[in-house]
Amino acid sequence: MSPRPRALAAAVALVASVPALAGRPAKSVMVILDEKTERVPNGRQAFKHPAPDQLTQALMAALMADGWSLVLPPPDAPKNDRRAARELAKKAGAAVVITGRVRLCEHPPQPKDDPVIFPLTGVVELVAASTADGVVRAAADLEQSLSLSDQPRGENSYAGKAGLLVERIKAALWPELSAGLAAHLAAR
Amino acid sequence: MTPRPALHLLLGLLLAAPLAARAAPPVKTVAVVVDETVGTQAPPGSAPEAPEPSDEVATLLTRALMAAGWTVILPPPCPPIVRAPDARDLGRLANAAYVVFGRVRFSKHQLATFGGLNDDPTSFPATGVFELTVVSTADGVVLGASTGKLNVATPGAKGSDGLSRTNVSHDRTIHDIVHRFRKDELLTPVLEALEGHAPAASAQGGSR
Repeated sequence: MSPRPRALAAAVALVASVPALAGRPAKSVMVILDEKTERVPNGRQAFKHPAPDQLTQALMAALMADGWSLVLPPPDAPKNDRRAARELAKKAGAAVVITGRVRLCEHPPQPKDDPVIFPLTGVVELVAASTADGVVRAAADLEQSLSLSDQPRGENSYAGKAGLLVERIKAALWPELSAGLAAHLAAR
Repeated sequence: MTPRPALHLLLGLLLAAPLAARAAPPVKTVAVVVDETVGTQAPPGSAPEAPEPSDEVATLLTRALMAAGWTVILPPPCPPIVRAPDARDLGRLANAAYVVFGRVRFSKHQLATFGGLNDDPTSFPATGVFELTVVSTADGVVLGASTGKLNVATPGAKGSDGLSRTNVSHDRTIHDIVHRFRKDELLTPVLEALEGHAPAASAQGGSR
């Protein structure tokens, strides 16, 4: 191969190595949320344990229903680091990264003699950004709770009530998130 | 035109496009880089937990800037920004006309060590400090800086100041401090610095 075609081939390989130029699917997204649940058994002590990624699952289901293809992060993906998450998603070929922090809190039942009341509160913050240029398309922060009056009987566990709370959080987040994702698609 | 020059032209355009875009960031683009952590005040006799990262103030700034018509850039990973020249470099790397950088430190307090609330098992006090700086990428000029304390208006006083609503969890307390009690102190200096400088930048040519 003469020098000129070789240089040309190298240039083509360089271009192909850049996902943004090589045609990264516009509707591909990676979701990396840091979800934890804090338990407050008596108000004086708190135990924090990882939550089962319920909001992550709920958002991924909604994104798939909206026609997005999901790029799963590796198990050791950096959580709670938006900028590192953008780089990871970019390298993995996702056009958008959704990253954020979810903190649920399990409270002692009030009144204490009611065995089926499981009070829960939650705080969420997240952003959705295009991985190619880093432009933030949506940002949300909210607090949600299950008050004593709106706890359906039958879900007699904190885990069951957490599912209900997460659905509410997702419903509250979705309008802004979907509008931001639409803006991402329109900008391409 | 022979096929080879056409291919060269296409390659040139593909390679030049990102560079051209990087050369002139739109006036109202800003990168937000806030180093935030939430620590837990350890009870006497126990080892302190490592602080965990947070993005409460970054999210507040991002939402407010987007609502004001700014394009917010999530920049690439970088070491914590503590000086204006570093912020300027990051702004260039992120293709942002401005950079908001700073530091936020929150601390969750144990009830036994927070005066006045010892007998209330439903109180979750938290306090913090912040410092925020706005830098213009084009010339590295510091456009504004603010520092302050982050807490509820009158710790321990339930009722009129809304503190009783925050007595749900430490995370809820911090959320309410950022998004309700200290929102204006966090936002106003940043927005004023940016909005005060961006019109002048627009008049000088539309992009910087």
